[in-house]
Amino acid sequence: MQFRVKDEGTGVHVSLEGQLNFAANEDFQSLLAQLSGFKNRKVTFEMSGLSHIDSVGLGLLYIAREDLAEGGSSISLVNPRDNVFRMLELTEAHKTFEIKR
Amino acid sequence: MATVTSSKPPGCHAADRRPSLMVDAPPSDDLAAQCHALGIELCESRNCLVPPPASILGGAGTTESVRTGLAPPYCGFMELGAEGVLGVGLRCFETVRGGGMTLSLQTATVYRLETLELVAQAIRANFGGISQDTADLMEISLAEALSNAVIHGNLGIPNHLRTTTEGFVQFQKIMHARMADPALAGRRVEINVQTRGPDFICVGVSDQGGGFDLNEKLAHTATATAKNGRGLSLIRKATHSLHGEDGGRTLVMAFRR
Repeated sequence: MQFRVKDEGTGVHVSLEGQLNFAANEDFQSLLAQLSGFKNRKVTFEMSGLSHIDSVGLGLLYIAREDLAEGGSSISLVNPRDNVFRMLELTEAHKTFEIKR
Repeated sequence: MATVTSSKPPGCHAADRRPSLMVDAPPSDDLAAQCHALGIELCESRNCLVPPPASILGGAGTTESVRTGLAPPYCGFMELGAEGVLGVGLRCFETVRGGGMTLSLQTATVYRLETLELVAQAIRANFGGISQDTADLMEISLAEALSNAVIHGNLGIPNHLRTTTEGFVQFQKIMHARMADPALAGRRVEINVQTRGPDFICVGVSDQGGGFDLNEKLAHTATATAKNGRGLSLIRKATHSLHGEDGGRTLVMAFRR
């Protein structure tokens, strides 16, 4: 998985690319470290570049959400591909995350 | 009793379904003896311009070799190390004998390659008539099954670590340490795909770990905000049917086309 973080003032834009799965390595750890510096922001995860996600990857998003919430930030997932959206649907992720297509 | 027919992937149609293992390099005496014992024909590609029916490509596990083995005229790919086909599950040969597609890789290779992508593409290409919806569900299920096979099966890493950032860091450390252990990294993950009648495709994912009780695991449903433990219930939602074999080391997932 690769990522890019762009500070847009009131919001933070995070682009994810590749696969967010069990092989997610230190990259996600590094992403979490970067995001921990933002307080009271709206963090948008751009998912259109994400080809796959599995439940390990989804678990990482839950961890990110929890970490960000501690700093007063919220998280939304935008533009997931059909297969990724289907996975989010099946796991009822919409009950926890704001998901925009 | 239901009739079970077998619609074969292109290139795998053969009256004689005796599997053959095709290798690039001259095979060792040991590999030859193993294949002989298993009743598998062993062919060296330079001596065999056209692969025999029901051929499985064998060799080093690279993206290119896996992609080649999962496309006609081959019926699958087996990663071969110094140990030859020792440790390869008989299910792989039976799948090819039955007209299906097989893949046998070591854990480290499954982790290193984009295995899900390679297998998903091969299933779409080799098994016709799969709706987009089913293809999505199959990929979702396969991703979960591969993840389980590697993390919990072959590497034996428990679930509970990945609940916090610190836990995730710990999880990564354990994963790297176990992946550096040749005995664990060399354990195999095997994917076997077969049609069941005209309407179903079965995907089996096997590991060489300690196994588990599928029903017991399914009885514990993860909560909506859980950070782990939702893999099997996700597979259950995405499949037509699901069952475990080999003491929980093989997950067999059926999908309606």
